[in-house]
Amino acid sequence: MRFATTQGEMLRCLDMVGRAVANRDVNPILTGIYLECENGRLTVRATDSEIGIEACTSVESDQPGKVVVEAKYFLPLVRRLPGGDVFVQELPEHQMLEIRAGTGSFRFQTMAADQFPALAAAEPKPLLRMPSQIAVRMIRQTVYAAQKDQGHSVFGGVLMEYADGELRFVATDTSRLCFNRAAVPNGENFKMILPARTCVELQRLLPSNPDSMLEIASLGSQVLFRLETEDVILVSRLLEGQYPDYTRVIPSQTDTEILASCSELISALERAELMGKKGPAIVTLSVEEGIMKLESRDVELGEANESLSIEQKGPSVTSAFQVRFLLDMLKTTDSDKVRMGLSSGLSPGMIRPVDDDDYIYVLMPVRVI
Amino acid sequence: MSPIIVLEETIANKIAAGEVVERPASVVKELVENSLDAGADSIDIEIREGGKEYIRVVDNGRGIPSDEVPLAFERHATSKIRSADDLFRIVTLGFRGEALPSIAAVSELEMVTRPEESPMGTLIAFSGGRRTRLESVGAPAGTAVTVKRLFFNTPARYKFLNQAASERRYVYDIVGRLALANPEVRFRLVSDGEEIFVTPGDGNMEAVIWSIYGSRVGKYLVPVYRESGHVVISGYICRPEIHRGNRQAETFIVNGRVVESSLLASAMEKGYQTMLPRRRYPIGVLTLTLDPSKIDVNVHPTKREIRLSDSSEVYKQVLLAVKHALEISIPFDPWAFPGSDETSQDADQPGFVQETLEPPIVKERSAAAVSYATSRRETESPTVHRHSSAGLSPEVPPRRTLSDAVPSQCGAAGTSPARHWASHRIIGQFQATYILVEADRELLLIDQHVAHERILYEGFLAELQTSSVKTQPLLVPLHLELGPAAAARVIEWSRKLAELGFEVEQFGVKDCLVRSVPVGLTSIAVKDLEELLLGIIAAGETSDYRHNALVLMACKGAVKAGEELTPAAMQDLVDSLLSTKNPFTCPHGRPVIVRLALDDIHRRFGRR
Repeated sequence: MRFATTQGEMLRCLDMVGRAVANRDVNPILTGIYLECENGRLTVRATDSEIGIEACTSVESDQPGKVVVEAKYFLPLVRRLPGGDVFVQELPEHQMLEIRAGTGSFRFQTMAADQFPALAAAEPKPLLRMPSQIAVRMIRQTVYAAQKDQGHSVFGGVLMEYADGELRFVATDTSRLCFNRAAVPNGENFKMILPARTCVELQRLLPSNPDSMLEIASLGSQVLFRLETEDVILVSRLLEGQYPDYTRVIPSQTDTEILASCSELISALERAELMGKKGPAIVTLSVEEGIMKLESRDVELGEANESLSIEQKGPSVTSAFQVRFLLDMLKTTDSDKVRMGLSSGLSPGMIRPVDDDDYIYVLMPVRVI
Repeated sequence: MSPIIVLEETIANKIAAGEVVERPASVVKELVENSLDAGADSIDIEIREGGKEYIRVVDNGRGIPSDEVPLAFERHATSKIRSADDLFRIVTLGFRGEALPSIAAVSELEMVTRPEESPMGTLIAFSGGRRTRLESVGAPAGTAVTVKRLFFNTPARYKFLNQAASERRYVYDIVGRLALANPEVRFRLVSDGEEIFVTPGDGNMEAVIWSIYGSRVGKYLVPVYRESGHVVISGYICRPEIHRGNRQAETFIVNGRVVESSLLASAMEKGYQTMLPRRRYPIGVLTLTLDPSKIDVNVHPTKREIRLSDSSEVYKQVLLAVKHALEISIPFDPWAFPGSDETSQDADQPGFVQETLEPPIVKERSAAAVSYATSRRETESPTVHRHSSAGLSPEVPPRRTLSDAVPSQCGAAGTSPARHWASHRIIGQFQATYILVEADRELLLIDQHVAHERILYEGFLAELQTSSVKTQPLLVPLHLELGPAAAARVIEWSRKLAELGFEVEQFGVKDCLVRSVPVGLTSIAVKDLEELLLGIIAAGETSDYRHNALVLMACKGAVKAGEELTPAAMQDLVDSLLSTKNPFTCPHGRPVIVRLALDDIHRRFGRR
């Protein structure tokens, strides 16, 4: 294998796949980065068997071939190389990969490239094609509600569903739920549960470029995302199991609807959040005559009280919530104002951006017994 | 049927002896108590063969005038009470008038006694209860009693004695307890020619503990003092790093009398709750001073058990005294890692491990004293913290004495021990499991999981105690597939679980739905929740379910070992930990913080 490219292009590819490198050497080959060159095309790949990422770029090449080098050292080297041309050459007789840049020349031991797994046996037909930007927003507005580090439970994932011409993302940790949707034409119906980490990694790869397009395809127990313009694919295992019926969870209406400034609410809640020395901070929201009072207290610490003026539709109402749950949603809202639906008793509350019916957040109040 | 006859006195005495004299240790106890009642301030006890062959107790007390000597060996002869009313105002140790005749009945006893004011002493000797000698002799002031061949005339009793080694242990135990009860009296115990311990007799109980238990225990002592209503509790307990497999090292002294009381023992253990591993017991000496009319000691002839008229109040006060003492104490032996072996440490770092603090009084502990200490240690599990004595650093406040523990520290009780560090700074995370913290002149290693457990435990406990358990109802109820038996048990427990913040309901025959969980456990995984509920029920069926439940809840809710934490998360965790009441042990009793003093680190690097 022999090719020439630039340091910048090489680093771009490596940075994209770097996060998929296995950090524990369960299988030593997976701590490596796979490089393959064929027909002037360089493929860089890494996988930890949960997710795999592959990035491609055009290079000048006169010898095809493939090698695996240890990511932990190869990646930092490329990052530290001077900008400009980079020449890469395999030295099969030494089982080495040589990199030359500027006046420097570096050699790395290689591993057996045959043993490095492929990400997808065949190129599957896409189920849906959509602007990347939509996916960026939908992931940002759902993934936080998934349970953290919950292994294989469906609650540790994000439901991704396509039906009736719209793509829906849903996440819940059982106490609160995020629902997000976007109209995307011309897709085939599907329903998959993505591990939260997959969403985070995908979000990181997705560019903000408005022209960028994302394709979603199924590989049976895995999902494949392709970023066309960037020539990158991400393959991930899916979570198995029955996702709860989210439609039954979203209330059709609430007793009282209020309209509040998002930034005011966020700063008031951030102050209230401090009253959580022993356990998560809880805020009681009391809505009466256009005023929302926020109260939180901690037995050992003290209390916080403040009022916000809001627009109120419906009767007075009081509900208590975990502060963090409110903040999680408000901080992902792009609007200046939010609509908050509250009901008395133990009915769930609901928050939506003022001008957006596609983002719905449902959360259960806290009860003190 | 045989006719009823009045027993011959010697037989009656033998029977009575059975009540008072069970084994050599009880002889020693009776004789030492007589010495104490005689106002002795120095008592020498010598035994051979565990006391089976030879017991000698020599005191410098008042002695018995020669005309009263024979009387001392008549049953119910006592100088200590005059009427039944006096029984309720007992302040002396022995009073039943049974001890001397009972012992004389089953041994060869010889007593030499002289009151200070008499020119001559008296010698009286018995063999199997029959007087063999009574004569005037020259003698030092005080009383010396020698008991030989105990139970020689009651072979059945003799047969029931254990091997010398275990009889010896009983004697050590009782003399130790009596010495603890009387720190103003110098005790010297010799066994088969070897000195086991000598107490200074200067009234300092801490010094007595050092003498008896050695420096390993001595260095971990925490003073206890509490005064409330009609109870005054004082003494010393050992920090939870050191514990025992049995209750032998729990000593209670009520109005000067060493007593056995399961009530007091369980109060003391309760005070340690969550700090000791399961089935491990504390080491401690507590002195209780109560109005004598509130206790009845005449329950058992050996007077070891007592009855308290106000038991629940005493229980509560002992518990609080122990709890507060531990809360304001701090562990300070940084190199004493659990499981590390004392002797090998000593051998490996001869220059490093050295005795920096001698027991305050005892100058030289003989080999026998060491072997005594060793024989006690053998009962301890290998998880006990071994003590390498170099840990005492000047930064650590010196061990407090009882006197300065009295008012100021009781006032401080209940406040967090975090005040021991003026400032702290997170250095980082080691192995995604331990948080390294710089705190004043110490390096702290904090186990992130147990630290979080301690925080959550106190949070849950505070909610439960203030009846403000916060529960998070679930939007999506969690479905537990338990099987019929387990599901039925969970439902049986549903009311108790609800108190803790779990709302469960039946779902079919085999399944349960969990409708809400405690706020601190929001977003718990189904698998963990299932384990937790079944764990609470299983643990609750044997003992106090609330405590066990909180421990389990804290464990499930806590960050795991191996989880990488952001600097902010570490800061949060450490801040919260240091504001807990007891940041040093987790609710299971494991240590949370290991402290390395700068001076010790310097010493390791040969800087001083």
